[in-house]
Amino acid sequence: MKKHLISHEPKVVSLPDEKFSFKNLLKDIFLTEIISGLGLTLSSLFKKPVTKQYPHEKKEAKQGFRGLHALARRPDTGLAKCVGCGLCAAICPSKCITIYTYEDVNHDKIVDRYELDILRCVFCSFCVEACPYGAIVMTRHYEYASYSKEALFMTKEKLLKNWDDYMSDEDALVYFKKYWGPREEDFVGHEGQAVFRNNK
Amino acid sequence: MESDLNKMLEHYYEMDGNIISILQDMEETFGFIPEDAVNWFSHRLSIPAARFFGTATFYGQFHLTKQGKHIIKVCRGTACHVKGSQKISDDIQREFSIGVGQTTKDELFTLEHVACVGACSVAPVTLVGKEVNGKVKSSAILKKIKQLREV
Amino acid sequence: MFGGCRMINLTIDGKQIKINKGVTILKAALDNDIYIPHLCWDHRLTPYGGCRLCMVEIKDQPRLFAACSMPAGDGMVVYTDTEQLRKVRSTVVELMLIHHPLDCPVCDKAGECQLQIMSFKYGANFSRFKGERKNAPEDTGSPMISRNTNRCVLCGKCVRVCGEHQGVGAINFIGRGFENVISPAFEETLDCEFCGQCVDACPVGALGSKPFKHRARSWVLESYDNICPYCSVGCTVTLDLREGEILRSRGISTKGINKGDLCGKGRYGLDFIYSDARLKTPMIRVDGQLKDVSWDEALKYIADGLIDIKNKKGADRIGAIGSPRCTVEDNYMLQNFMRTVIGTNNIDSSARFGFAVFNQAIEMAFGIKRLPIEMDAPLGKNVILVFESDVTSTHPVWGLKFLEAKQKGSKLIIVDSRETKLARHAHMWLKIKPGTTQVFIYGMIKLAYDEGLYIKEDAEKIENFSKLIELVQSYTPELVAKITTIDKDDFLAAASLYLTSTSRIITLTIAAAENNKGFNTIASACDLTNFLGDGPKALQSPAEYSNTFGLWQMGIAPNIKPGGEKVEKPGKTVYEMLYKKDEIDALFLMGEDPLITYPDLKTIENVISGLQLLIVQDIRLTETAKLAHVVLPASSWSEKDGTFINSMGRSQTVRKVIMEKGESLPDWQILNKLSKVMGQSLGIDNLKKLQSEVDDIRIIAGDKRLRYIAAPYVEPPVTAEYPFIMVTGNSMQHSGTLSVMSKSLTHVFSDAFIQVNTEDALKYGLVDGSYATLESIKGKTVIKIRVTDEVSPGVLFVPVHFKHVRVNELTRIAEDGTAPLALVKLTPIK
Repeated sequence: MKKHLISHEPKVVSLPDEKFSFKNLLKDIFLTEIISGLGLTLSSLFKKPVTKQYPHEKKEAKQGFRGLHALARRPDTGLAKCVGCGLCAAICPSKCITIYTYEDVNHDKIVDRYELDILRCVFCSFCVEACPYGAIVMTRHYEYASYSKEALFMTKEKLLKNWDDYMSDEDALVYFKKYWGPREEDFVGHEGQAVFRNNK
Repeated sequence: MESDLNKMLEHYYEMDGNIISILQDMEETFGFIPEDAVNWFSHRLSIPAARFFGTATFYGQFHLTKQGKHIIKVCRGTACHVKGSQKISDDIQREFSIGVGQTTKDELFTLEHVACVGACSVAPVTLVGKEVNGKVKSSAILKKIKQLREV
Repeated sequence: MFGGCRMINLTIDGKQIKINKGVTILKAALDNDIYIPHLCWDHRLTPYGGCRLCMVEIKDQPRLFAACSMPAGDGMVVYTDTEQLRKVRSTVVELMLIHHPLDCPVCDKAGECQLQIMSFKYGANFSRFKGERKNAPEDTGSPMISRNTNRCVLCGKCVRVCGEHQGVGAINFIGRGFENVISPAFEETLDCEFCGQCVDACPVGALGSKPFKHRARSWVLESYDNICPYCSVGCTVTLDLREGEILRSRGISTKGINKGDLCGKGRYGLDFIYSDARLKTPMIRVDGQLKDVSWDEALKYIADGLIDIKNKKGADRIGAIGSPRCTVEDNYMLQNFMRTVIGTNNIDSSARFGFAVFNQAIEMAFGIKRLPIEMDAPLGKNVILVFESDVTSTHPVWGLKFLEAKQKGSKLIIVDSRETKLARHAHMWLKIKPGTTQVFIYGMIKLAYDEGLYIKEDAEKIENFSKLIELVQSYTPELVAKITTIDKDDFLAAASLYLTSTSRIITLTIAAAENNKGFNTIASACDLTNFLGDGPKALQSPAEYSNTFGLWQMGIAPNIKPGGEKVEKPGKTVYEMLYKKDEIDALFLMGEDPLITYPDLKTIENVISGLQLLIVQDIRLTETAKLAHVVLPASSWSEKDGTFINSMGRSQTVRKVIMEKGESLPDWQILNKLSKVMGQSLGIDNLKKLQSEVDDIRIIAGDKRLRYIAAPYVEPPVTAEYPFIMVTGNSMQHSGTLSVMSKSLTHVFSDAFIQVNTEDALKYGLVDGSYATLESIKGKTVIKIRVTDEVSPGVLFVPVHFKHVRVNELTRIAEDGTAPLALVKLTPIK
């Protein structure tokens, strides 16, 4: 015999009777609850507002905020730090990074194109963690909404410009190094060769 | 050169595993291992030139550059080092503007370092040609070498 | 050979294994799906025991053993993964990493680097040792192979592959101690045959492929297997693609008949598909200029032209030429189109100068229609005799088997006027006068007859016995020595070595590009095999290109149908179509460029310019296409599906791995469309249908009756005016005119040259690297001189690949089948 586990009959739920008390009666008569509510409103009227008037007022990003991507420049040459190892592209869960490299006349590895589709990015920042040179970073900048897809498709040039725009000041670098602790300082590059400097 | 090489070739044509012997013959005849001679042999014996070269660079007895008339060997053994053989070598290098293993422009002198000549009791030891100079300062060695140049 | 194959039992990691005696532990384990890590071991090479990663524990043995060099013993109990072994391997990796630079981010090997894999698996997180890292400059001068000695772990695989397996020995260990590096002699830039075997062998990033350098990370590549389009060995190449572009090709040790071996062409020459010269749209000649048109227009133009000629002058005035580079399907479709839609047997190919001659000879001599070679034919033979053939250039991977056989104890006798790679390794190299192989062989038959070195009853049973004996009677060793210019004693030594051995093969190649062997040569070789009773298998003659064998089987010949059945009314051959004026009015060329590869260009040019309609269907704008009325773009290898039949008679699938270039179409589809436009559908709508039709072809076996051919030797005329004999052929880095489209291969050499002997150079005042006029009765060209000892005096060798030096303008054809050698003179240009 089949047994219905769930009964479809409506259940009658009766609210427990509120106990009569003198205190409650007084509350009802003098509308104390409403007055205390109005009091809060009144006190907030003279306080500093919590809400930011966003386009006119901007909020500073917290440490480790994952904003717009940028490609770091080498301080000595001003070129991109990226050597095109492709680890960021390999670890990217949404596969939004593609790197194209070639061999130049000096037989060095040159990053031809570094493409990052922000519309596909999930802002996990794995790329930043994976990069052995601290070449890809995430800035504090978050205001880059746009009407066109092209504007959100980052090329090497755009990413380098992001670095100039949002990471070139001392403040930003301090922010970045403190939170992300890039490992690029553990690497020394010489003669086109990267060698891990074991400082232990 | 061709005739010398042909003479050598006669010895070794039928033998197997003769790379060292050929190189030794070359060293004896020319004083070093000339590239042309190696290629010549490699072609005739069908042994890759790289094998000759690999063997020649492995053994200290073979030289790839023309050697000077006189070979100056500065001992760099422990005893000689303690007695300051490095200074002797440095002074010779400075005087003739050559590095270790190099030959002077007039092709008279080649400077070499040797591990130990087995005459530690008279350290520091410097060999000029086959003459052993023990317990000498660099000035004396330099004088001796300069004398050789004038001869 | 090894005293019988006794089986032994052993246990590896608890698994019971039964193997042949003498096999190493590593091989036994790998064959039974047990992985033992290794760096310096390679299945093609003798064990080296250098890397010490393959250490294993053997029960009741106090020390560890290197599995790669330790033969498995009966009843052995082996452990491959214990705590102790992991510790040992960890230390080994740690030691290797002391000097190894950690430049993985810029190293192309990263991701497939054995050292990287090993350090991930066994290596420690940090190093207890600190050592100097090497920082030598990278050798980037070589066009194919970049050499970074800093990354080298000195496993010696490249040195051994190059010396032991490839027989070149271009690199070696140089120096000692910390300065020990892998380098060519005198630390020069690598200048070898650029096979790239060392690149594939290198477990780390020390040796890398130059065209691939810095182009992609290994993990973004997709791999597809395909069959190499160059020679008839039919190697399996593994193509690595990124975003639909082939970036490199590799040989993988478990795949194909080549088992990891590839030549320079297969490894570096496959970029021909990306050549700028590729055709993208159909073109029609308007006012003397080729103009881009649509497919419909082009096909309509052809259909109208062909129908017009067919109706007015008859189907017999239309001819077609097929291509050994096209697939079986394409060639089947071409003959189907010609025989069904046009209604003529005027169909032929470049195989007429080579493979057709060979097939004619084997049919006459052995009564068979096909004689495939065997990959392992040279192995285990006592004597191998190679006549005027540079097997290591034309069929490089098969050529390796000759070197392997020689190493395993076979006697290698090379009869050639050129110093080929095999000649350098041979026990005997006899410098023969080009084109006189036939005399040499008849001399051998005479010797065997006189000395009784043959099985009398068997040899006499064969047809034409008396005719053969009568013919060879005059070829005494003295006469042979006189004609072939080989020393009499050398001839006798080589001949008796061959005749007295128990297992032996003869090898010779015969091809359009090679003018030193003709029908007579192959006929005499057949006679010798018959006379000695060795059977057809003792004659190993590979077909020329990737699908020459398949093309022949598809009936691209005026006298045979697919499968080898005879045609009642044979059509016109290449000799008639291209060398005789006014034989045909329309010519359909599928993937062939007669104006480079065929001999006697002037005549062809004359005939072709008189045609009413010349249709060229090719992957690039060929020299012939420049004269065509209609040019059709065909899809190249790797852009279409199909089948190649290699010289072993094995059908191998060719895959489509990349998109077609421009508007190009597979050859069979073009023909299918054309037949529809001409109003006569062949009923083939897809490749499957076509392939099932091809599968249904019944292959005729032949009557298997042995005969002697006994073709007399014809001495070519000699004139004092033209003192040199010019031999044409393939060079090691090129194959026909296809490889010239490859950017990488033309990096090695892109300029035609002519090899002149040192003595001749002195005599005629020819300087190495200078230019000279090369002249024969047929024509004249200017060519660069290369003075070398690789050719005999009086002989010139010239590769035929390059279009700017039209070598074939000087050559001639011989319809009678004799070796049509060109007599030439060389005059230095002041």
